[in-house]
Amino acid sequence: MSAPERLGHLSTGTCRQRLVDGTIGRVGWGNDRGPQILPVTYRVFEDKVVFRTDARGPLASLQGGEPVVFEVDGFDPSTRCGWSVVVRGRAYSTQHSPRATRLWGEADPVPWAGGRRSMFVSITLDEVTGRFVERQQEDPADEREEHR
Amino acid sequence: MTTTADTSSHFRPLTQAECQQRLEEHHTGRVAWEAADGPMMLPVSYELHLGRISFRTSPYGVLSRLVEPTNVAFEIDEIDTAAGTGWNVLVRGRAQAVTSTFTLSNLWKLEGVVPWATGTRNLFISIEPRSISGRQVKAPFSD
Repeated sequence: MSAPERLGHLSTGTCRQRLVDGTIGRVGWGNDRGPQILPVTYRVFEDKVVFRTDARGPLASLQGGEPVVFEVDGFDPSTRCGWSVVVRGRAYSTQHSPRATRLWGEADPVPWAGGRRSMFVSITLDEVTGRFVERQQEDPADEREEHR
Repeated sequence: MTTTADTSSHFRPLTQAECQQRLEEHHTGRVAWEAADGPMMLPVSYELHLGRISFRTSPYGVLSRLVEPTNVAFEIDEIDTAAGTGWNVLVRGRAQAVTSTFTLSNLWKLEGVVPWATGTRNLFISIEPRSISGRQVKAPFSD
């Protein structure tokens, strides 16, 4: 029998921190074949989620403000605890962004998608929400502030 | 079969059998759909039952809108940037409420669909796949 769990919403500050700390997230968007999901390696730059992609790949259709959803999460199936942060915003792309290239170089994220990823896509953080499930034997101190 | 159309050679496609096996072995995924105000995505704990992705949710929650037939994407992955390994499986199909009494009575017995959070989560949604595709990183990452 599992210990009683607590279910709640993460504060905006915690959501932002989880986004900054993360490296892998999933982009969801719609095209003529319906909803799509792809994992990407990302960074948060200038208050946007930024990832690189192949200019000929499926994510390259995100260019001019398409509505998208972006999700990061952390789950532990053995304890059945976890959290997720969901960003809803718009996606914009650029092939030439010296600033993004420099920031990306400094951050040096290890890519999940290989190949030439000449296109930067950034997602605005229009709506950021987060949820968690935890159990009492987990480190509650870590999350306690989120109930304020 | 739909592929994720990645043009790089860093990935190899997973076979249908491999995708199926990973879907059976895992129990946490993300479902995405087109909501009235734009795309939405949420994690769910699920079970692959009779070829469908099934999960439980609250009749009052965001996911409850999937009781009506809805086009969805469902994704699982395991990515380890430190080890340079990773794969993902994408299911595309149609979600709707489970109404068959027979299926419901089976689903209530499955561990995988038990939601991590309690509360009144007595609504079963299942996704009937139209296409299943997956890919795996061939070699450790290098950039």
